[in-house]
Amino acid sequence: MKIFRFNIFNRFSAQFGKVLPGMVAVVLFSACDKTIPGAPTDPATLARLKPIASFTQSSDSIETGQTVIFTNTSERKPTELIWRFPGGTPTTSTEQSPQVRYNQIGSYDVSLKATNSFGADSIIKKG
Amino acid sequence: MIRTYFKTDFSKDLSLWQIEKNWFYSTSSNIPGNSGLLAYSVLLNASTTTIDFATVRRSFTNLPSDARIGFWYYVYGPGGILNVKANGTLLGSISGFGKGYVSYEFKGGANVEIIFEAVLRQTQSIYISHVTIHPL
Repeated sequence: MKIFRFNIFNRFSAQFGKVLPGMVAVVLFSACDKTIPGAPTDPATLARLKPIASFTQSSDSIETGQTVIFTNTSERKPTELIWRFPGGTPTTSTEQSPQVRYNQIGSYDVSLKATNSFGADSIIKKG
Repeated sequence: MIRTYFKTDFSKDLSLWQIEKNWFYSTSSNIPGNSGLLAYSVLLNASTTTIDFATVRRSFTNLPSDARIGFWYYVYGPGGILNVKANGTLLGSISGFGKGYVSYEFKGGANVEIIFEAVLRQTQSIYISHVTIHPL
């Protein structure tokens, strides 16, 4: 914070000359982010929203008998996770990064439901 | 979504295949992509002049309804034929000198028997390796 103030002060001084006691500098910041217009961006508001479920996986294609590690990447701090792995072992999990084995040839769905105190969101990747 | 596939390693899973006549493990480097390992071959006695058949087969359970089998092959000898069948249905044939990779689509199901059938005469060799089965 001290560095920030110093930079602002220097910039103001360079443009307008000496800053005298009692002068007030008002700095306006323009918002130019990539968020959806109207979407909340402040942390306090985001903390009161339901999660956005998402996950990654260590591989898209494996040999039968091998395992895949799925990793929760959901936003907004879900407090509960429910994974479903039809055709895999285990078939469900509540872990952050479950490891799942598949013993039969095929294409399998994977779904994740992420929940916090403000709601829930689900994502399913179809096989 | 996750896709899973079957892959042979004849150096390890030979016992899971049912062998009829003269198929055995080999480390031949004749198959492209084989790097001299994991080949599986059938050989016929050079003195045999009649047509002979040798098969290697394996049953698979719970295959996807639509699947594809692929493998590397090497056929040595002008009269050699390698037939590939799924539950008795011919998926494809390879004949004469040649080497390469082929794949065939087939209907899966609860129980599917994959058969490699070598048709041989005189001095011939037929190799297969890296058999894979993928869902479509």
